[in-house]
Order: sequence, then structure tokens, then C-alpha cells
Amino acid sequence: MNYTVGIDLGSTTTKAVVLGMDGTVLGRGITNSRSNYDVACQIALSEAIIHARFSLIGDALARGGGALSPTRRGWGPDGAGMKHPTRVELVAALENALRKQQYSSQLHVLREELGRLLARSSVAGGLSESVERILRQMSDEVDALFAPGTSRKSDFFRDLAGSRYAQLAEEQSRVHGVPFDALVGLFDKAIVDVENSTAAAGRFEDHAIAAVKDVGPENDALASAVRRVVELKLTQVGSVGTGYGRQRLPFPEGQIRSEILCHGLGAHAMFPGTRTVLDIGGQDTKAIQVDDQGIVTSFQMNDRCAAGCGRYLGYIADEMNLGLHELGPLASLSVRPVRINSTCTVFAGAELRERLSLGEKREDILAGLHRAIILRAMSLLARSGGVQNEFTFTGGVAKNPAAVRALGGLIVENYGEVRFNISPDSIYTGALGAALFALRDARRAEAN
Amino acid sequence: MFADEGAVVVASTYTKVGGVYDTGFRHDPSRPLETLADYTMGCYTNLNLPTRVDMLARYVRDYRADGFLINSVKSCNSFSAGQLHILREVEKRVSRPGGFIESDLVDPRYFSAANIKNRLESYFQMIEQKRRSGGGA
Amino acid sequence: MEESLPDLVARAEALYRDYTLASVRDWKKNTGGIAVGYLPIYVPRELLHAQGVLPVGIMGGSDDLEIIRGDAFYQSYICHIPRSTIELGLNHSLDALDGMIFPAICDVIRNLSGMWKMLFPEKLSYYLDVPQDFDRDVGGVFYRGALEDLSRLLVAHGAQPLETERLRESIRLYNENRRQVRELYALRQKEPWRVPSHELYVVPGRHGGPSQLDPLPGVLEDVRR
Repeated sequence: MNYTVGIDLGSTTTKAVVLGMDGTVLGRGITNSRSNYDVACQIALSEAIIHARFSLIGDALARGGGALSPTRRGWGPDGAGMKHPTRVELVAALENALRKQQYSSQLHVLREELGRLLARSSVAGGLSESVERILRQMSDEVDALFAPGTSRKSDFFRDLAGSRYAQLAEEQSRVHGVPFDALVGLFDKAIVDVENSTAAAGRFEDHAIAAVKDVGPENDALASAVRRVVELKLTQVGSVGTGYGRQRLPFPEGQIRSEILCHGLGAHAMFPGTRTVLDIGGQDTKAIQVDDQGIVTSFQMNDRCAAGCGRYLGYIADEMNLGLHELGPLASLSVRPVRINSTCTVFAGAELRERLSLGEKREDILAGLHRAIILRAMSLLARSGGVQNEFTFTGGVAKNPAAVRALGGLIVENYGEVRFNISPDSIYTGALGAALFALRDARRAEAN
Repeated sequence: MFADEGAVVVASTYTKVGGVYDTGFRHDPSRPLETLADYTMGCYTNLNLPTRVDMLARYVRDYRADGFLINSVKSCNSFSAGQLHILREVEKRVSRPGGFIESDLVDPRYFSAANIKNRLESYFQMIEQKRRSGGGA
Repeated sequence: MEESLPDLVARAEALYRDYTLASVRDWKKNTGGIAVGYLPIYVPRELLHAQGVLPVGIMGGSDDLEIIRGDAFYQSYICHIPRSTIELGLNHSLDALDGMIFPAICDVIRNLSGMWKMLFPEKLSYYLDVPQDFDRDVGGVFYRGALEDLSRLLVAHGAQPLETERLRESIRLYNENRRQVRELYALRQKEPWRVPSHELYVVPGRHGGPSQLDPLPGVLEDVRR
């Protein structure tokens, strides 16, 4: 089956969306952006293909035999997104099993990398033993970590393994007197190589077969569906790259589009009635006006200063020792938001500490911070031409409930009631737009 | 950056900062210094904003531009302050999109090539898209 | 009208903080005159006063004003005063004013006068340029011309025509006011604890609010006591 792909190389995450030739979304993938852009692209793409294959498996199971072809699905406002209406739990279990395989495989590469690092440097004896203990513990935990019905704090190996490693390292440090910094330092060095190694994620075929054995070895229908999908040849006929690092993408010049256009088109595909799009990403904010065809008519981006972007929330989360996804809910508990005048990311930590020392509650400070961020976004929206009906909010920050509430309030106050769109898949907006551009190009090429 | 995207600049107000000939002004050879002074007093930055908007709108129409670009220079507030307002007014009048970048002529710290290239690329691609979907406006 | 000092200070503070200019509306209702806002500092309040106009000093919004629309007009490096002034204009806080005078205090304010013309075409908007040459026959002529232009413009918007005697009287009043302010500052120099900064800032009918010539003598009396 032919497909086109759009890759959005963002500052924090890299996204890929895969489309069938009729415009159906086949799959999407996301991974950490990292020092090696080529690898980030490859991994995002392979994640998207994996996801596509799983969707196809789901379709195959639901249809029970017959030609493999994806069921049309949309990005509708009900958040149906990529979920197939008749997706069976079996496929979910299969995917979980595959993730487990991937994790194990990455853990294995991590072990090798750490071993290499330890062998190269002359380190205190205790270090090697501690590392071994940590790794063994982590290996033992894999089954429980990916047990059916569990959910994990993050889907990225770096986050998942990293936080567990740090916890175990602390224990080792406490019990055996091994320096914590040295342990964590080893991980930080090794993880880069793990991430940049495509081998670490392994091959879908191998993982899929192992996953089937894990989930339902006696399930013939499943095994047959998996086998057919594994054997299905997926051919890429077009690709478009976008995003912050797009110059580094392994794409020829003509296949690169600005993220403004991709975002506009992507938002239009998700919500055809949208006219204004606000994207607050990791380190930039974009306000885009589109027409009824999804073509951009005007836009504004934040200037040099990245204040008010996602990265700022990241720093705050670190300072408060919270997960990024915990900020919003905590801020929502505030009854008396503190007024924050600046959102300087550089001074975020200092300002936060000062406020805390003055006796302000965490949730009040957070509420104030969220409002300050949204005010900057409002300013950008005003510059780009205001807010027209309908209004779509995308980007990582759109997942933050406190930010969404603050934005909603300010929009109603200043622009009246407009339809407010958010999709849980909004992080893929840019990649979707890019994939659609790729599709248009591919169709035009076919016609010629 | 313009050449890379195949864009051509057809007119500019930057050349009007010395003075303006458009409205028919000519030097009088019998009173060279006086008319030189008159010329200087009529320069772009001595025109009020509504007049500047008129001038820009006229250029876009006369030179049949597909769009106009505003370069906001930090060092010269006289020229730059309020350009966002001018941008919107001109857009309203000529129904062509305006692009906006911030930079400086003197302070290299305020010139970010990456930032500007990003905005220009997006702007040119935007114009390209509009033309392709039929209709230059 | 005997007003205690604390009450006076409180009233001055309230006036200063009143962005919607309720007191200006009241004044207009009571006197039927027009009110014109201005940015400090080169604006000839005496001229306005002589023509029955209430000069209202505008110094932008302070930290309790959130800028939502004002940012749409100015790029990132422009300071807060013009942004907040536009914000006040757009959120109808300045509706009570019949116009604005923008003196030559900085290039941004200069351009703001043009922006005001485009945003509020029916209101008065005057850019008051000031002479750079202080020779009477050069700068003096220029300045007189500018003031006469302003005076004519004010009349066109409903002010009373300019009369010499009234101008003289206004100048006298404002000079007296200035003398009293200087006296207050001198007192502050001698006994700073009796004239704290935050009170000094709002009381002497400064540019932060409508021109208030009356309460100042009262203040001096109280403070001297």
C-alpha cells in the first residue's frame, strides 16, 4: 500500500503522520527530538508505521479476512482520532506487548552502552556493581511495568527508564555509598547513544512475532492478521518535512514547508470551520489565520524571547519537582491566583522561589503563571489579526487544562463567544499538514 | 533570502527617508539650498502615519505587488513605532498580505538570521499558496 | 470646603487610579465643557484652561492594566506607556475625553498621534511639536504658530475661543500652583517624613489626573500644621 508522510521536527518532540492515498490517516508516531535529527525522523516515522500496522491489524481482525485496507477515520471533534471504532482489546494487548519488547530491547542496548563506558574509564569498583544491580532490578520489573491494564508516566524510553534509574541510583548511593552523580552521569552519557541507535528500537517484525507469542499464542486469527500485516509492503510515495529543524531533514528542498503553512492546513483538516489557530509549542508560539481552504492568510510568531512557551512550563515543573502533566491540574485548584508580571524563562526558578518564600501557595503561583503565559499568547493573537470563529488551540500546551481555561476566559472576554476547538491529537497538527501537502504533491505527480 | 524564494522587491519606502519626490516635488535650481531644506522636511519620517499608509497603499497598487514586507528596525522608532498598525491598515486597503520581521541596522545582536529566514519563508510560501489556490488577493 | 489631609490624599489616590475617568465625566456634565487628554510634559495646560477645556494628564496604565489589544499595535521593543495608552483608548476608558494632545517627548508618542487619528478619527488628535531653536524670531515664531493651531483646533472641537485676559488669568493660576508645588517640595527637603513619596506623587494635581488647582493650598496648610 502506498502512503505519504509528514514529519514535524519540533524542538521538544518529533512527530510523523502517515496518510493513505485517499487521505485516510493510517498512523502517527512521536518521539523525543534529540541531538541527531536524522535519527529522530527515522524513529518518528517508524513509530508511525508501527502504529499504522497496528491499526491495520485491528481492521483485519474486525473484518476477519479479505483484503487489507484501512477504514476511513477522521480527526473529529469528539477526539475519535486514530481509534478504530471496533478496535479489539486484543490489539491493545498486542501493542502493549510490542512496547514491552521495544523497552527490553532498548534496555539491552543501554546495558551494553553502560558496560562500554565503564570499561573505558577507570572507575571505582563499587560503580560497576551498582550499575549492574540497577539494571538487573530494571530488567526484573519489565513484566510488571508493561502488565495488561497498566499505564506509564511516559512513552519515551528516556523518561521511563531515566526516572527509574535515578530512583534506583539514589538507593544505591544511600546504601552502598556510591556517588549518585557518577551513576546518573553514566546514564546521561549512555542514553544519547541508545536514542541515536535505530537498532535499539528493534525491528517491528521481530517484536510483533514475540508479542503475539506473549499475548495469544493459540489465537490463530490474531497470528494470521499479524503475519499478513507484517508482510504487507508499505511504500512511501511522498514526504514533506517541517518544523524547527526542517533544514536538517534528509529531504530535498522542494519537500520542505514552513510550519506555519503545515499547522494551518493541519488544523483545517481537523476542524474545517477553523479560522484562527493558536499553537503554543516548546519554544515558539504561532498565531495563524486561515481561510476556508486551510490556506494561511496572515500569521505572527513570537520574537527572540521564548517566554510564554512550553519550555517555560518545563522549567517550572522541574523546579517544583512535578511532572509536566501535573502542572495544569494543580493550578486548577487555585482560588486566589497570584499576579505574575514576567514570564522570563531564565529567571523562572528564582521568581518561583521568591514567591514561595513569601508564603504564596503553589497552586496560586501556578495559576498566575498560566495566566501570564496566555496573556502573551493573546498579545500575539491580537497582532495576527484577532480571533475569528472558529478558534483552534494546538501544541503541547493545549493539553494543559489550566492554560486552556485561562485562554478560554480571555477569548470570551475580548472576542465574544467563539467555538473553541481542541483535539487530543493536536500535537500532530503540523505533521498532518505536512503529510497533506505531500499527498497533494504526490497526486499532482501522478496526474502528470 | 528573497532571491532564494524567487521574490523581487519592486518598491520601497526606505529610500524616502531622505525626502519624497512622488508628490511632484522638484528642486528649484535658483534656490538650491532652500529647496534642499524643503525636500528634507518632507521626508518619510516627517509624514504623519495616515499619510504613510496612503503612500504604501499607493505603491502596492502602482507597482502591482503581490504583498508588502515590513522590516521593523529597532534603532529607528521614528520610522518603526506603530508599524503593526500600518501593516493592518495597508492590508485592509489593498487586500494583499503583509509580512513582518524585526531586526536592526546597527546592532548585530538584534539581527537573527534564523528567525528572519523562518518568517520570510513562511510569508513567501503563504503568498505562493494563495496564488495557487487561484486569486492573488 | 475643609478636607482633612488623609481624606485629601485618599481622594487624590482614587482619582489617580480611576482609569475610566468618572470625575472627568462629572466635570463635563457640571460645566458643559470639553476634556482633552495629554501626555506630559510640554503641553500648555494654561491654554486649555483659558479656553474652558479640562486638561487630563494620561500616563499610561500601571501594573494593574493587562495589555490585550495594545500589543497588536506595537512591536516587542516599544515601552509600556504607548501600549497601555492605546489599550486604554481601545477598552473605552478614555471615552470621556474629546481628544488627545501628543507633545514631542519621544518618537513613539509622535507616531502615536497618527495612530490615534486612524483609530479615533472623530476625536481631536494633535501632535505638538516644540522648537529646537530658542531664538524668538525662529523658534518663537514656530511655537506661537503651533499654539495658535492648537487653539483653533480646540475651538473646532467645542472649546471656547481664546481671549487674552483669560489666558493671563490661567497663567497666573498655574504659576501659583507651580509655586505651591515647589513649596511642598521644599518642605519635603526640610522635613521629609511629613511629605512621604506616595502622597507627594498623587496629591499636587499632577499630570496623572485632571487638573486640580484648588486643593493644594489646603494641603500646604495641613502639612504645615
